[in-house]
Amino acid sequence: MNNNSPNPTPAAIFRDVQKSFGENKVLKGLDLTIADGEKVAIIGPSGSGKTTVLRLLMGLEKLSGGHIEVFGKDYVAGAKASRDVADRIGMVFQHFNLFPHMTVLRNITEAPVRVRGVKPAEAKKRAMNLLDQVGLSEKADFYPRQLSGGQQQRVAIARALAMQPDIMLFDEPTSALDPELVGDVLKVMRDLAESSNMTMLFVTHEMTFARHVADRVIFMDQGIVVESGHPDELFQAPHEQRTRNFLRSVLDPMGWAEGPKDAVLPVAPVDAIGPSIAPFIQDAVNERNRAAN
Amino acid sequence: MKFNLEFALSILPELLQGAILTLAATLGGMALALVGGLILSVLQQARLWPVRFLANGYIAVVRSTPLLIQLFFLFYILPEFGVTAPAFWTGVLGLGLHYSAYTAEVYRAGLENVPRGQWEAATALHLSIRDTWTKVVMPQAIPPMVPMLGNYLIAMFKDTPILATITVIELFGAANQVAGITYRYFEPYTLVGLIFLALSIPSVLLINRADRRFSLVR
Amino acid sequence: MNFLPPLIQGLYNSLLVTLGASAVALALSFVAGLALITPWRVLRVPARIYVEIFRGTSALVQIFYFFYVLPLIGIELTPMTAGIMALGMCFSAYGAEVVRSSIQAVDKGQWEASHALSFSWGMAVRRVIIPQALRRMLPPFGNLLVELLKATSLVSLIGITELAFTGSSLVRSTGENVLVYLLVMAVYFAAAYPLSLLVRHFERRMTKAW
Ligand SMILES: Nc1ncnc2c1ncn2[C@@H]1O[C@H](COP(=O)(O)OP(=O)(O)O)[C@@H](O)[C@H]1O
Ligand SMILES: [Mg+2]
Repeated sequence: MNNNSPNPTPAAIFRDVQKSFGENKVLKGLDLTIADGEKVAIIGPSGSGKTTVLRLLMGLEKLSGGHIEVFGKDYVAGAKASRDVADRIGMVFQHFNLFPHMTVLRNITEAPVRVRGVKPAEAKKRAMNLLDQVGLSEKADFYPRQLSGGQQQRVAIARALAMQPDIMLFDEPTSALDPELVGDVLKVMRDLAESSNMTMLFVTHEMTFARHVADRVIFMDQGIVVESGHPDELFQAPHEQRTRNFLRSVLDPMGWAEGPKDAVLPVAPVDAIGPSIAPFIQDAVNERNRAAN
Repeated sequence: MKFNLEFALSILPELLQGAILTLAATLGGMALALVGGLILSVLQQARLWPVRFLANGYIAVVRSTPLLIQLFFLFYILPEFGVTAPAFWTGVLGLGLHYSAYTAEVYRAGLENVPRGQWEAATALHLSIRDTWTKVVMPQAIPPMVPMLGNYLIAMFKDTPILATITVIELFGAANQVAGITYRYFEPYTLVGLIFLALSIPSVLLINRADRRFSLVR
Repeated sequence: MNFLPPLIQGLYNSLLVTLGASAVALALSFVAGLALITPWRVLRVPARIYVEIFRGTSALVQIFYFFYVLPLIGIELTPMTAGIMALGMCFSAYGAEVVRSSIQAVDKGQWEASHALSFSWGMAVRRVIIPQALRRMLPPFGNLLVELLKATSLVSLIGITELAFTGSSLVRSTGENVLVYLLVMAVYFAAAYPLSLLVRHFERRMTKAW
């Protein structure tokens, strides 16, 4: 894994990507380049094709047209030739999809041991480390059903990390959670984003998170990328009317904000996510910030 | 030994005649089972516990013993009561009595499928008992029953060869007769299998379609 | 005259046939059931044909076919083997559908998570999907076992001296038809009813989700 200098080869390139389910054209010629190590938030109305973009990259759906490249290689879901790049991608699902018949620890160690051939003892040590990072080391021997949704999602993040992917995909990881549990998961993801040089794609409705964690925000609507830019730009000075409308509907669902209807509304400040719950990562982040100053 | 097509064709009319009896027995048995199951499921809800006990006991006994023995039993016991029906009717009665124990459960499951809230909503709307049943409960209870009943219809159809053991010359009985006379087994039994497939596979497809249709309603 | 000892001996043979046929059925249920859900057509199509042939015809016809027709094409079977194989294959067709539907009832997200963790198809099936599907399979397999026990009465018609056969020969030798068949039913009931109670007990426990 690359540690300092970012690889000049993009992590993923979508070229004129099309995807239909029967008659329903979901992606209509999508172009997108994700740099190596980039943290990208994908926002957009429900049904705009955000999940489909992630599922195509994960190989859970087959392309209807166009091309996808991963780390410079042509990528075809399910093809043998794409196996090695596919193995470098991990995913966190909206509904966690933990294995209910395995303990938290086995959920995390199963794939490294069975797929990568990591020694069980070594896999366990790494798993405990990861559980520590997501603040759940005392839950190792619990079953998923014994955990809250937020805890299950943090286990799912640890499980994906255990395979040491180079690209991590997050599909609305907090939208199946009760509101009070969202914060812990967002913090874990933020800490991860700030401390690692993994490429990360977040599909999310958490605008505060997108605004303060992503390097770039992509607004999708009706199967294409409408607008893409630095979060400050996209949230404060969106170019497209569709983007403005969407942001308004998310940030002010009741239409109570004062002022002109096309004014840009503020996204909540960074501390709305709150302080880190993972001191281990926070230390690393502080370290890096000190070095930068 | 090779399959002799000419011989097969020559015995086909005889077998098809048997098949007509098979279908008749299936339909007769199903008609009985539809009514019998309804009566049983009403008795299962009776106020008097001995009635409930008898209904539940009947269902348990019928479901835990082989149809073959039940048919033998009827075949011997009916004459003791002075009933000398042709074997065909004994067979129909046997099928009907046997499958009543299964259709009763279908009716019960169908009713349990209607959420309690539906009854409560009907009460809150001051619907009459009659309207509650005909306008609210039955339209929701019956569609999911259709595929379940269809499956039992097919199961009964496949049980009809057992009627041959009480001398009914239905499809399988006709094949046995041919085999007994000609000492050729290959053609008659293969034809029986093919005729069964020809009738049951389309029925299964039909029921699967009903199942998909009706489960969409819910 | 005491009818019970020969009937109990008959029951013993019925249980032997049940045991043999259920072993055959269980193994073939998994083979055919897994074939039905593989991504590979070359396995799915034959499995589907197998299941439809055995589900679409009658158990009694299959038993006769195994006993009378297979020898004509060079497959000689003893009555016992013919009975066990026919019933085993017949019930494996129903069992295959149980395996298939239980596996397909497992949340699709489990397949997707397995894929995201780079599991192969076989590994996902073995480690993730089957362990979860097994719970769902138990009650329907139990019901099939009860049905199989009853269906063993059919092998009496190819001369296996199990419970139904013993009953019929007692009737022939004593003429006590009603009494004997009542007793035969009582013995079947004593064997099958506890089994179905057990199945219902499991059914209630199993329907609870993870
Ligand atoms: N497996 C599928 N089969 C049929 N239609 C689908 C499937 N998955 C997604 N779609 C359709 O594709 C469109 C985009 O879906 P999705 O990518 O999930 O949008 P988003 O994640 O932005 O809400 C929707 O209209 C949805 O109904
Ligand atoms: Mg989505």
